[in-house]
Amino acid sequence: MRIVKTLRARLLLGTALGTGFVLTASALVLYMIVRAALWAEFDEALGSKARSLATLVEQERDEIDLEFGEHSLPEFKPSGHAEYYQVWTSGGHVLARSSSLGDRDLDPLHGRPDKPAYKTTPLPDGRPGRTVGITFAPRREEDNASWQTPQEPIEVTLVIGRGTFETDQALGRLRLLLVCGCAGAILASVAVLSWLVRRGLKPLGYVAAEIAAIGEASLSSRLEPGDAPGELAPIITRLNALLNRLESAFAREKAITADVAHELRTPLAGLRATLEVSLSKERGATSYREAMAKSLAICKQMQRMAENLLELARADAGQLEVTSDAVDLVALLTDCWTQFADRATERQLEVAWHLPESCHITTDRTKACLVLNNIFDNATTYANTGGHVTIAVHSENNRVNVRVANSGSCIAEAEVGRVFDRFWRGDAARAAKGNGRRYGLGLALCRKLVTFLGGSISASVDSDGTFVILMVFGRHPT
Amino acid sequence: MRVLVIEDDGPLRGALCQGLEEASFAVDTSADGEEGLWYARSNEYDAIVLDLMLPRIDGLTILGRLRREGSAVPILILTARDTVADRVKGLDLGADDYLVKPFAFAELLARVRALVRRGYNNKDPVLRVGDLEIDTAGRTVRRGDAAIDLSAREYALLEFLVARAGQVVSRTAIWEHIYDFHSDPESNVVDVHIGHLRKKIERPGRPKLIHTRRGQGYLLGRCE
Repeated sequence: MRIVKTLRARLLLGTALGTGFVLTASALVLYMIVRAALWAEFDEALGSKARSLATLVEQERDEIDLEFGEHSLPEFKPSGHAEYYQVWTSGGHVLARSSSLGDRDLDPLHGRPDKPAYKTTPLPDGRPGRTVGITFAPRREEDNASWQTPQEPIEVTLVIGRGTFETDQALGRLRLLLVCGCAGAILASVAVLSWLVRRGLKPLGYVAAEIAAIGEASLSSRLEPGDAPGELAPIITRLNALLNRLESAFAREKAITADVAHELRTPLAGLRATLEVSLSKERGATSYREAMAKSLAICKQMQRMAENLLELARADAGQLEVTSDAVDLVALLTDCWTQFADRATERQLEVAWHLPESCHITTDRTKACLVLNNIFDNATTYANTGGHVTIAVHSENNRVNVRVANSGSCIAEAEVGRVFDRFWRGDAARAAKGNGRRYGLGLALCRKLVTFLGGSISASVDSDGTFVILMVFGRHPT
Repeated sequence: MRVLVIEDDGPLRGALCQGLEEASFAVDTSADGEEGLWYARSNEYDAIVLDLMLPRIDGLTILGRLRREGSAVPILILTARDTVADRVKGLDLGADDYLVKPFAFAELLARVRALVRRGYNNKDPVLRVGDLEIDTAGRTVRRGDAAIDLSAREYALLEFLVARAGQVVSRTAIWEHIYDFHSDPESNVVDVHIGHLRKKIERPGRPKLIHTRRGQGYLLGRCE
């Protein structure tokens, strides 16, 4: 059944086999009934004939007298379709036989007149036939009974044989008729079923064609449920849902690609303009050195962007390799802060720490460090000069909250949710001076990494312009 | 000629400023939209190079506001967005030209020069007054057959006077078009440069080109 691959062929084969089986079985039953009826009728006629002949057998004293002659029963005369009879006494003595028998014998059969015995057997002339046999006590002459000694009853066996050619022929014709009829009906039903199946499966074909027509460029098209049969409706709904997801995934992909290209253009323009202006005339070594230093700075920023993007892509693809260690969060925070301490001092930031003695979480040290670096970088860059930065760790139950806040945020409350979007930059990020170009990837990466590490990260802005990053990690079981 | 560059990317802004200054433009720069708009409103620029993605006020808003206020300053949009829709939108809002990042600096310079020429209704990059000839593309000056070597500032001054040949130009106007925002307006640097320029372009036996109009300013060209 595995060879039959198409639904159409399977349906067709199944229904054709079913129809064929039902038709054949019906024909067989019909044949058996008709055959039984024909044979019953045949046997009834043969039995009647035997009984009526038996009434013509008489016992006269010790003599058995057969009162029928072949002149009144011409079928027993020799001919191509002759019938046969033979009469025996109980002692096996042949009393009479039909002239059609000549000196041949029939096999004796002992039935009762009310229940004759039948046998299918070849007739003496070789034709197929059937014999009936009854054993009976012949009628006695009653007139003579009064004055003579009582007679001993003599039992007589009568067997009649008759050719079954007509019945066989009729059954043969019936068989032929049924076989032809069945075959014809099966063929006709296959033709009709084939048409029905093709017609019934047409909507499936339409759906397949519609799906085949959908390419990368036409992801916005949807399958029309239209008058599709009910069985296809859930498939169409599911496919449309799949297309929705596919389309938005493609759109996201395209948007990211466009953003990347777009974000690369500005630093590239800066790099190119710096180099072209520098090369536009002969200059002193200092001037060239300055231009090279500027170019190098741009290259470093672009490299940072590429690395962040790569890290994000790896996280997207689930290819980040993380280790799970017990890390002292307090030590990690102070370690990571080291490289931002100078900037904080330079910008006269008031830094407040609210840390417990120690607090262990299960995490990947390198990734957690990357996250904290990004958050500290933002905090020390975007805090207003002379403002404050607060770093607090607070643990409750099995969770550890890390809160990093900086004053002087100009992100509107409505926009705060977007800080984790890739390439989103607030005005402050666009205008930020001194720390190189911002690409709007840092927090996007943070969210990805924190989620990957099994934590959560959120951002909020207080009414006094304090920007807060809150991270929640699972506490290391002690 | 004085140009305003509004661009938030530091390195690009620096390179544009240096390149334009070396091409004898007086350059003001701004890193954000609000400040940029303030600059554009408070000075008479010969061209503005405007980035679109800017903090606080975006480039298209600046463009729209300046045009609504009746400013005719030639504006060149500089942006990383390169779709036809973006270009059409910028041009429809009143931009004069459009350049997609990254670009060749020489092309930006040529486009800015073309915008400045257009601002003075000159199509020909070679300006002529009598036998004085200034090739604004090659930045060369000739009087008759003799080439004249000018400093960047002298060239800028001459180019401005020639662009307005036949008109009396006030010291303030010269100041506004030749010097950037950070120059000291109290000095008599305009008069000094006019003096230098006179020495280099005036020739004995030839008609005098730079005339002083007492209390009004200077006039370049034939004296009526």
